[in-house]
Amino acid sequence: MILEPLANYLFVSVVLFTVGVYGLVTKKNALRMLFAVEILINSANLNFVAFTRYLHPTSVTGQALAMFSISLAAAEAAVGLAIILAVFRLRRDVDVSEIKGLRG
Amino acid sequence: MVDAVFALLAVVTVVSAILALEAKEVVYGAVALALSFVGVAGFFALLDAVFLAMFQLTVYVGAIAVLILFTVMLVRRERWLKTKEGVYKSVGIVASLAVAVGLGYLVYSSSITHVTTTVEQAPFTLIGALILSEYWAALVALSLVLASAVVGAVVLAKLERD
Amino acid sequence: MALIRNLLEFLIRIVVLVVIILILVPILLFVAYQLLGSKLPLTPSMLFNPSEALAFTLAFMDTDFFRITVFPGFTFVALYAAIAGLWERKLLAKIQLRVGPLYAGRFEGILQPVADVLKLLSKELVIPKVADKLFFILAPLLTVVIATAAVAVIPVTENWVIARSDVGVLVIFAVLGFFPITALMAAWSSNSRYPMLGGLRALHQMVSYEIPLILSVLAPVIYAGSLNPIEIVKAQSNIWFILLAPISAIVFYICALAELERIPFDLPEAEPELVSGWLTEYGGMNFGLILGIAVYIKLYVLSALFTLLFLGGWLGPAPLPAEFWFILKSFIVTTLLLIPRGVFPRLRIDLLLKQSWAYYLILALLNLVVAAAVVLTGSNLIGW
Repeated sequence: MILEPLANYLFVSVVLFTVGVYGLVTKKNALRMLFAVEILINSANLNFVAFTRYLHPTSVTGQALAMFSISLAAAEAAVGLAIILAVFRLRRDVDVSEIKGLRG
Repeated sequence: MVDAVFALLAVVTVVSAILALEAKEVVYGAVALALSFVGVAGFFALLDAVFLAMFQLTVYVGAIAVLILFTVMLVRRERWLKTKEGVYKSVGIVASLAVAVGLGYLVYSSSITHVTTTVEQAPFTLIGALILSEYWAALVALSLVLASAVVGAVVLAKLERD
Repeated sequence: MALIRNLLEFLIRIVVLVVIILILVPILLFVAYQLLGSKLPLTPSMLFNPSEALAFTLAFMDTDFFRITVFPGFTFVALYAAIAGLWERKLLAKIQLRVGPLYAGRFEGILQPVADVLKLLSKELVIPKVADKLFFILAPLLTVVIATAAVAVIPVTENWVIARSDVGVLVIFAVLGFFPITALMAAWSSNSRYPMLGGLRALHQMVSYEIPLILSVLAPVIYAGSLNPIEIVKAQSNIWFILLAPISAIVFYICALAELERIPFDLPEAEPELVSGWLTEYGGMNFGLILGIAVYIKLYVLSALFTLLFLGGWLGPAPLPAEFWFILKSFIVTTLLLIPRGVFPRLRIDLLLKQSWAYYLILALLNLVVAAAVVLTGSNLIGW
């Protein structure tokens, strides 16, 4: 069956989301986990824009939300990378299963 | 023509996203991640959101990918090559396949698959008006978050010097 | 590439080359005919009757293919880059009371770019044993591709533009954002000390100067009310934006110097300290691609952007064509960007970063606020 365009975008978004979930579950390297989170955010943004384009093209709400999300992702990446760098300086390692200093 | 471009973009985006997670060398992964961001920007352009596509390129590739690449180069160690994943790998594959099947079925079974539109996308200049009128509170909150993120990142970076 | 050991091998290679050319050329001609022949008045009788070819040439000049490859596109930019390179060497020589290139071309070394390219082409491509081969080869190519991509949205005149985009100015900054990545790729793949240090410096510098650069561009954008370069130039028909936003223009100029890694800010390739920065391991045409082509194309892009945003683009007195005014203004800006190399010493890295965040950012913001206030109060400066 031939799908209409919106479903195509949603399927790409689903695949990206899957890849992100896979990365988040399997990886123990903090940097790889950050990569996975960025992929998840991207798949969500794609959904926002695709839905606005096909369901409500007279507004730009989805694009505005995607802009907010991208800006938040930038902040998240900056803080995340600063934490990774600080942890690396302390422990010479970025494997999250080895970092148990805060365990109660 | 659009279908071919769409297929190409889909392949590039998904394959480079997988490469970003699975490439042996983390630097390759970081560059693949940047390529994946470019692919998503391409989708935005296909969806008539050219302004957002360029915003995505400026922020994601120009700032986030560069920061990630920079960090990867600073913390690069041989030890990363032999990270053990063991059981987590099979669990991850099962979990992500479950997510894929669930979400895929949801999209497939819904009436969304038949939606199409002939209406032109509204111009990007509306984004500014929308952000400043309806979502002004979110904008203020976002600016505070960004400011605190900058302060937090600087503090974390200076932690070690003392 | 394997060495050619004897005459027989040499002859075999020549034959293979000829066969490849004999096969490829008809295929390419056929493709070109299929692509262009249907739209253009292309007939075989043209070969014997040149007057028929005139219509073809005129029609050809109107195609996208011509725009991409020749006039506002690659050939024009490459020529501009070569002339700027020669002009830089002669100009700096005159400033420092030297002669500069003198022999190639008999008159003031006018063929020096050709000689340089021939020299670089004839050199062996050395790839260090410890280098990461994929990125090492990819980085120079990507740098050129990215630099050229920015040219697509720069209009030389209203008609001579490859891609008309409503967000043209933003496109240029999206493209500029790729440069730190290729620089880091080159630095990391060389797997050597000096390139790595140079690459990290380049990254710091490009990232911190991109922010004031974007902010300084916003003042003209607010005055014109558009991100489209063509609209921005049209809005300057009464008064150039350099008079309305002088601080932005100065900040743009300084940040362009930093983005280009030119002399007061050339820390990434500081010769006395870092040999040649992130380009240390590169030689031959690999080096030529980055330094000879990409850097000068980037120079053209930023000069052209300054012209479009602040100097009224192609607007100028009538008898001379608009293209002439645009190229003249761009070339003057290029010259201004070249002169500091003959005059100033190099900055220290901490001063360089402090300047960007402490001064230029504030100055650019200041002019942005002024521009917003002027537009808000509805001042009739631009003739709306």
